[in-house]
Amino acid sequence: MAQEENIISAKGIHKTYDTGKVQVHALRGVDFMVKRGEMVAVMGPSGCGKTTLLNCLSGLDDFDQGEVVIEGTQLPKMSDDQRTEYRARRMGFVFQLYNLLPVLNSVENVEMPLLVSGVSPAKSRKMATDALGMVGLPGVADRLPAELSGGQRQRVTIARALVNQPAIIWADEPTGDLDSETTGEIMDLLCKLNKANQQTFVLVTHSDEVAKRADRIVRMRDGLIVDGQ
Amino acid sequence: MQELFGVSLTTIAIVLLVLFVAVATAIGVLAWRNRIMFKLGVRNIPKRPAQTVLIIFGLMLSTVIITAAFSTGDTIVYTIRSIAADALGNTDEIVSAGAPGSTPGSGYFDRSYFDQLRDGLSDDGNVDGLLPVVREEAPLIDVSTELSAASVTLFAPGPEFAEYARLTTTQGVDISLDDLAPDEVYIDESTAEDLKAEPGDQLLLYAGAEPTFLKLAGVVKGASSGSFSFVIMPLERAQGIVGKDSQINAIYVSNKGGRVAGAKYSGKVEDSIKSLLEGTGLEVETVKKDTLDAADMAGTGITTMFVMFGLFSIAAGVLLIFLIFVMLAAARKSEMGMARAVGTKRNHLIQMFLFEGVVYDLGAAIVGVALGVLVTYAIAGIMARIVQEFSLELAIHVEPRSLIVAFTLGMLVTFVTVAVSAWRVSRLNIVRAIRDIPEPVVEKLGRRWFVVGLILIILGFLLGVIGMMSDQASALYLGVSMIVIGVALILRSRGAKERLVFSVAGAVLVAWSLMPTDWFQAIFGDDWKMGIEMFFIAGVMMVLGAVWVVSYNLDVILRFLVRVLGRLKSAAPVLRAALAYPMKNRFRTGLTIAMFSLVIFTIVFMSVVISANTAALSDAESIGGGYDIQASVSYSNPVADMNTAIASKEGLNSDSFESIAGISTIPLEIRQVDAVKQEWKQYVVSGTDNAFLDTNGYEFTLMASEYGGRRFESARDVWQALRETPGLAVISADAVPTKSSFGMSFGGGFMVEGIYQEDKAMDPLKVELREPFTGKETTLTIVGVLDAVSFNYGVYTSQQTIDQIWPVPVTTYLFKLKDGVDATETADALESAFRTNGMQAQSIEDILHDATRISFTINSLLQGFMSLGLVVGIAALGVVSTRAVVERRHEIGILRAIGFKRSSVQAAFLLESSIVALLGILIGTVLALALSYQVLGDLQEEIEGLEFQVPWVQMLIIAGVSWVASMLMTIIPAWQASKIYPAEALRYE
Repeated sequence: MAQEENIISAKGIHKTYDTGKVQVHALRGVDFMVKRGEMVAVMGPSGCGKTTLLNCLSGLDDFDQGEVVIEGTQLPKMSDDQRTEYRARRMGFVFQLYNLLPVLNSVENVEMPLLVSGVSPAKSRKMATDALGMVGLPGVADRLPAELSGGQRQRVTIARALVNQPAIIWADEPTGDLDSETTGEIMDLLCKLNKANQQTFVLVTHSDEVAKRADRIVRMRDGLIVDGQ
Repeated sequence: MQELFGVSLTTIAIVLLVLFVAVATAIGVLAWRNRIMFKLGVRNIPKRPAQTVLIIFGLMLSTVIITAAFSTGDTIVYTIRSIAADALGNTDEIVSAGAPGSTPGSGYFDRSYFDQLRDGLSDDGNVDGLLPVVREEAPLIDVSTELSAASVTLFAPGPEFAEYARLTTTQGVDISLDDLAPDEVYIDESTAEDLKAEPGDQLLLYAGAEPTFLKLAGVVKGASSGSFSFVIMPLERAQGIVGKDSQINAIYVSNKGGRVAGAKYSGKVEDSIKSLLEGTGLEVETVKKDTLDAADMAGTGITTMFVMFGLFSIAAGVLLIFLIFVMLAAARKSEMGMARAVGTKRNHLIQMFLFEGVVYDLGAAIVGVALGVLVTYAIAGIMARIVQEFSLELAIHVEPRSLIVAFTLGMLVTFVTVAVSAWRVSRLNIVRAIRDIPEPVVEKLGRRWFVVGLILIILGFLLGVIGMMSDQASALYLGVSMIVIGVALILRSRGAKERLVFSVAGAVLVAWSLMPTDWFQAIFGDDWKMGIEMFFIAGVMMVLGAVWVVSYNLDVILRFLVRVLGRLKSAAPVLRAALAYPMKNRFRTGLTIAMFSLVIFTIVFMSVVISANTAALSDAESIGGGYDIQASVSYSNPVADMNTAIASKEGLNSDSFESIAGISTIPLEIRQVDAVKQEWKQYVVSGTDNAFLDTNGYEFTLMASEYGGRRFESARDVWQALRETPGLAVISADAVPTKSSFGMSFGGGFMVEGIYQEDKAMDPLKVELREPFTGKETTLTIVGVLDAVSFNYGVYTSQQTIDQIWPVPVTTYLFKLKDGVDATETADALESAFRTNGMQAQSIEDILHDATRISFTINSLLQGFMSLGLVVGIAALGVVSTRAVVERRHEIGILRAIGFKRSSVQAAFLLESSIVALLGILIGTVLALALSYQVLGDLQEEIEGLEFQVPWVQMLIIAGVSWVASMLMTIIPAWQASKIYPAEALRYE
């Protein structure tokens, strides 16, 4: 059962991309709240602003107007270094592509957020190994991403996202590049972790099959939330 | 004619120009017929101006080096030619009675010989003037200013001078010797400057039995005297001074065709003169042609030296060109894959790259030539300071031919590399290119590499055999190295593990190049010729081997670093990110390390050799034979008894001197009695007095063990034998050949046969000496070869031996001072006291100091020239880093997303470049130290005082400057990487 407080609270978010010749209003005053421990799916057609919303909420991108409060902290008021540190400690990321550093093996990829957070290399290695076990990949520690299947790569990514026990996991099309069977396996894993660790998940997805596994679906169109908020 | 590796530069220029025109025409036709491909190829150039500039910068280096090498050679040639033309003027040949090259003043002959020669050559169309001359070297004092010149040439031409040469004042006003009053003379500009002389000054000339008072009428130029420092007067006046009425001691001959062009007739004129003077004992010297040939030789030598030392940088430059095009291909992989998918053929891809490469090539060649000329000016500026020590001026000059060679060679080298790269790039897999999937790991090389390996083994074997048959060490070295590489390729083509094969092959290459000379001689014998090309071959093979070992075991090395440094919590994530990429991009990393290693290797090697040389040249005790001052006096006004003279001179104290040794010197002809080649050569014989034989401390590099019942166990035994046994002699090391040209054998004239400087012992050998004018001959027995590093030159025997045949005055003195007496002050006092004898005295430490300074300047110049190659390594890092920012854009986004700060991203890039640069610096340094240790160890046997020393300070400076420059090159890409916005980087639609 999710707790009542909002872990994510965003009001009146506006974001415009200005290329000089063309201006694209990606977000036109979005309000978005998520309770702690909730798994929320954000859906909408291509170009509706889903990824932009995720980037703005997670601090990966700036926005023009509005307010974002994560765990009671106003992210935009932080410096870039402060936001980066916050991401390292309190957030995890799962993307559709380019998740893993191709030159590091699986356990090295997973332990990277821990090293960045100042955890000792020895402890980082242990925690990363445990995280790989948690996602069902105990035997791939020394394999490079190129040596893993699509599903295995996403599992490793999930392990990396969770290894520092973040409060929020941001997932942008986490199953977009996977077949249906693997999609099901990944979603089973995410749901299991959500229930077990009470971590908040925000998923951006095109897939109804993925979205219906979430506690709530938020729909976007043309830079606005039209349903589900 | 200037040459490079035995081929005339004009021939090289013509061949290169023809090749260039052929290639340019082919490319032009190809571009015309495939205009679309041409446009596609060159459209990328203006898109990324910074990248274009970087590429041109990297490509131009070979052209810069070649231009600078050739232009510096041109400058040397032009300078020496100008000097010859200025000094000799219209004079092309000189006829004299002494041995050619002898000291002026020897051998007077009747003036009728001049008449005979003039009549004989009157119909010779190649000769346009003859001049009877008296010429003597004598001290000159300006009584008015009280300044003196130790040695000026008294040049006294006959009345034919008016037709022979144009004498002018320094303002260009024509004057004549007829204008001179009986006691008046003219002098040249440099003498006037030395004496601070003005017209009207009273001069005192010490030629002849008594000094002569003269009056300076003016300062002139254009005398064709053959000397830079002269006093000119009519012939009759000089004959009176030297007491040789109706006699002359030289005939000057001028060929048609002007000051320089006339030299081309010297061969025929020399033959004509020889036939006219047969049986007279007079000799003809083709002074102009010899000097011009010497100029060409010097120019060739300088050019060859700069090219040889620059070869490493040129090799690094070729690697950089390859790397740049590999990076460009990587950048355009998807684009090329799509182009192939829609129907572009493989050779279209090759054309696109070729066209783009040729445009960069052209830009780089033009910039390279321009910069090369600037570098020449810089080199010439430094050399001018050295040349000024000898009161000469360097005249910077660049031949159009040299620019043609540099431009075309630079273009062709780059073109070939671009063509190979383009071919390599075209062989992509379309699907992997479009989807940007990495290339699969190759378990074994294809059959093509088996064939390449086999060819290398066969060629290597043939080279080895040629080397063994001709005793050429370089052929053997290269042959064995090629066999090693060929075997490695064959093993890989058969599936042997990559790491094992190339690590072992690399280690073998290094070990082979560093094999101790003793071991090499034990296996292959000891009669090998080694030239400077060995340095290049050994260096390249060593670097290749070491880079193979390091790059195929990079993961081991870098994991060790991570384990050690990664204990620092804050460093761990940055280290992990920084070191992972070099490990995975082995080809790029290996190429970049190789570039650094090649250049650092040459610079450090030179540093060590310079240090060792400087130390050897500083050993005044050994080089000076234990003496403190070296002095010379005028041949025409020697000192009868130096000990007595010193006692009588004010300003000198006999008690200051521990010993005073005297040497007389005479130029003679020499040949070895049992030599295969029986040819008389010009050489010098010195007669040494008992004081020298008793007190000198000169050592020998080779000694006979015994002669005439006497055993020689030390240098003292040999000197004692010379004192007691007339007819015994020793010889300087320049006349003894070496097996390697790393050694000190510079004898271009007389060389003995049957012994080498590297030998442990020698048998006594006999030489014949001949005075050409009198025809007198004698035979001496050589029982020792003097140490190479010393002032000694020629054959040394006792004064007693020389006096029996050619009594000549003592003109060289060596002074040993008592402890506490200042050598420099004493040398000045000697010069002042014996001014009228034209004494020039200098402390041996000061002479060595000057020699060291000049040697240091020249070596530093070479080192600086080779440092140009560092630009290559640094440019390589810049190219790799710039490319990495683009390639890793998404990965940088991931890193930023999971918590990498901007500063960490920047640090990771800088650390990555740092590691690669430092690995290259370390490899180059270690190999250079190893090779220099071996080379100096071998040379120590010939050169006393030569020791291997590690010049720590210089090495730290070299490493530090290289590293800092590399970091500066990487700072901008690293900053750009850190500025990447995570959200933008992660966008993948």
